[in-house]
Amino acid sequence: MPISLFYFLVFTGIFILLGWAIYIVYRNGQLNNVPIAAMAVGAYICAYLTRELHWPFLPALLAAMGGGAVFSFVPALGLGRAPGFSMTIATIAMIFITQTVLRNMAFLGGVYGFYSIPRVDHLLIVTYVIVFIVGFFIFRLERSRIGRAMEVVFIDTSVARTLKINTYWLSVWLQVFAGVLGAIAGVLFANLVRILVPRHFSLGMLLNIYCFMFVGGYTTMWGVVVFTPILWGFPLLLPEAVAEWKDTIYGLLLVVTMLLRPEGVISKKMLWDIKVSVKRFFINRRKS
Amino acid sequence: MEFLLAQIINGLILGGIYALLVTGFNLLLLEGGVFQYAYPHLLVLSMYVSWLVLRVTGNNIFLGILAAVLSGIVLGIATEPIFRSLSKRGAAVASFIVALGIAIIITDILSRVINKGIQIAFPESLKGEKALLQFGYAIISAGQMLTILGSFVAVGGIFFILFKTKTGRAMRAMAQVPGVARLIGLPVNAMSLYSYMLAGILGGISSVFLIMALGSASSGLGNTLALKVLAVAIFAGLGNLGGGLVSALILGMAESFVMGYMRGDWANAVAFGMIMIIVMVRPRGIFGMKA
Amino acid sequence: MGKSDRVLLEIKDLSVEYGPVKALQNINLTVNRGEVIVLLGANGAGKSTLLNAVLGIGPPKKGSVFFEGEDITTMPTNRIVASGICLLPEGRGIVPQMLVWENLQLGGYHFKNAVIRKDMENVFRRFPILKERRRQEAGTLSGGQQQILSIGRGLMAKPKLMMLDEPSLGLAPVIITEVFEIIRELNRDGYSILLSEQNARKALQVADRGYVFEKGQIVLSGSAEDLEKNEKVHHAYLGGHI
Repeated sequence: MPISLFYFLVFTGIFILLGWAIYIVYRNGQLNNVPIAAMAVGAYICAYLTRELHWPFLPALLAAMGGGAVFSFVPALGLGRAPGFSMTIATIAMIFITQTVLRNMAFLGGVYGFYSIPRVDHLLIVTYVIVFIVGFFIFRLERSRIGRAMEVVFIDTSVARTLKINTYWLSVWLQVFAGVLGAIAGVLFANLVRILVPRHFSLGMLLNIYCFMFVGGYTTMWGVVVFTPILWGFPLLLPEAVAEWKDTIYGLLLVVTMLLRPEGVISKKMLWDIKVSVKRFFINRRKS
Repeated sequence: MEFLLAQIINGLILGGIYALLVTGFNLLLLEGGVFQYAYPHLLVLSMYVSWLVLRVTGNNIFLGILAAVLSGIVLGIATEPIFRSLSKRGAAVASFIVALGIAIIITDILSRVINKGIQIAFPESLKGEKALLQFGYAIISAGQMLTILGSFVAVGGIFFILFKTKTGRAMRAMAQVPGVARLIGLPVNAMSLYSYMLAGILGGISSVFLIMALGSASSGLGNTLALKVLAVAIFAGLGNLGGGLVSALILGMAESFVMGYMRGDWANAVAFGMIMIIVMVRPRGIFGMKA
Repeated sequence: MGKSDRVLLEIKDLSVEYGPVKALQNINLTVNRGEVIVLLGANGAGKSTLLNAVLGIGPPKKGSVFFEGEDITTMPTNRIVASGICLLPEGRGIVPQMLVWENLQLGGYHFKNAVIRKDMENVFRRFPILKERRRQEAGTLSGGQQQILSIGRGLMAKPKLMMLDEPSLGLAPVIITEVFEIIRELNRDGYSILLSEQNARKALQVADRGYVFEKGQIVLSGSAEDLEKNEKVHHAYLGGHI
């Protein structure tokens, strides 16, 4: 397999995980950016454990997930009842704080970065096994009692309260889940690029994920799945002079999508329509 | 003692600039329900426009300042149509995302096109570094004095308009009871445009002060400023105009002292740490949110 | 007087739809100069939608609205108000954190400050309580006083037609009587009035004519006396026997 394809596929998997992490909390009506900071935490934990202490991949992954959970749990306790925008900005602040702390951690390489991180065998397969498991979990979660509760909270918080949904704890656990997802993405990222620099885990990364999620559609988990490879992939195919403008293209796509198709390209209704027409197609074929 | 005084002056300058920006930001939030993350980016764009004009006119300071303020107004008004439909739908999150998109575009363009993406530097003559007052080693330069006084006057002017004129009262009514404002015949569309214009004026003025205070600008400045401004707004409680001023001064001072006594790297982290704590302890800000 | 001079507001074939929901269907309604017209009907029957539609607020509509012979169907709201129609919103719609006199000033927004000052004196003469409380925050007024402030603010727009949306909502019975007394006085002073009201008994006492709304349609109209005697109106809105 060409090395560029390998990188593209693993990155896509990592971004899908991050996209889902933002998505799952946003389904609950809150735009939470902790996954990016948790990604840094997970990446550095995994890198340190595998390089310095020679841990194998799986225990390092589990340790990173634990780290991500703890890392997101503490602020989640405070942010669970924060109004929407406060949470958004506070968690962006968290990205910056994490970066600053990492820059000043000499034993983690500081600004110069943490080098020669060992890579797990079959990273591509590992990545997509994880994506599949996480995807299945979210798929089931959305069809569970919790998923329906989230749906209600997204539409109207006060109605949710009257239905005795504990919006506070629902929010806290979703944030922790998102933190764990972020940490997993971080572990995969560390294994892929093998050099960690605090600058990686920045606003730029967050904006990419926003673009994949809001252009793809934030009302279903499939928006991220379909549009991450498309939006991440097409600049790679463009001539370099155009591909350089990737950020501007992403920015324009975000603006245009929010103005013309506020729910994103893939909406619930669209999925429904596709389902119906596929069914109709098969029924017609059977008839003829 | 002199060191302390220098930090206080710096704090006042930062606080003054934040006060201008947070007032403009809150105005847009109150009048149209728009979460204009890209507001500071527009201001940075104004700094670049001013720099270009300075280069073309051979450092004509008057034209440079005029360009900064005018472009602030023009850019402010130009963004109104983009947000209009969102503001009518009451789509606050969508407005934030659109603003993010605009911010990405501005940052990207500044980092590639103007001056090949290299940080721009303003002529020394614009900084007004002539010492005006001197206390031992602490010097208040003409530029610093102008910035402090200017931001007080500009903010004072906006508050006068909002609280002492008919138009300002109509704008506040629109913020407090948006549905009713239209029913009783206030020209809501014109007023919304007016709020973008006022925010644009504030942005233009603060771009001049930032030019004097920093002497340079780079493409990343927009994001840094945006987070500071949002931090101030959330610290006070979103949409709280008066609280925003107090918070701007508190945060300006805090930042100045952290920069004075700790390594520069930590200044932003401390500011953001304060935000985290405030949001967690008092989610609606210290002075409370306004609808 | 010719017909066109006599008719102040004319609504022709007006339909309003919120997506698939038909909020108003083929409404025909006129208000003549000097009349008090009452709109009766249950909550959600379309009365408020109609008043808003006259001001050009709400979802897209079919049909047209004429005021003093001029087509105002697509005019912006602030120009409609300036041309002489004011609405006192349901729930009074005062700005609670502003002073009483500031609220009044907003009512006359489209006039010059000197005109506003003079008009405010007139409002103060009519409602001395507002003069007394003029430096108080409007939110601190009692419900009845807020309704008077809302009426005062409406007068500041120098309207020819005043539209009142549920003026008695949430007020004590004594205050309601007072409010209707004020409406009667306003009418005596030459203001034409279009009133949406659930309190049918009181409303029909001051009204000249009325329209009964049901599910977005006018099901009955006529003079106030006729409506008061009408079996159906009696049963539905007045409760009990004659």
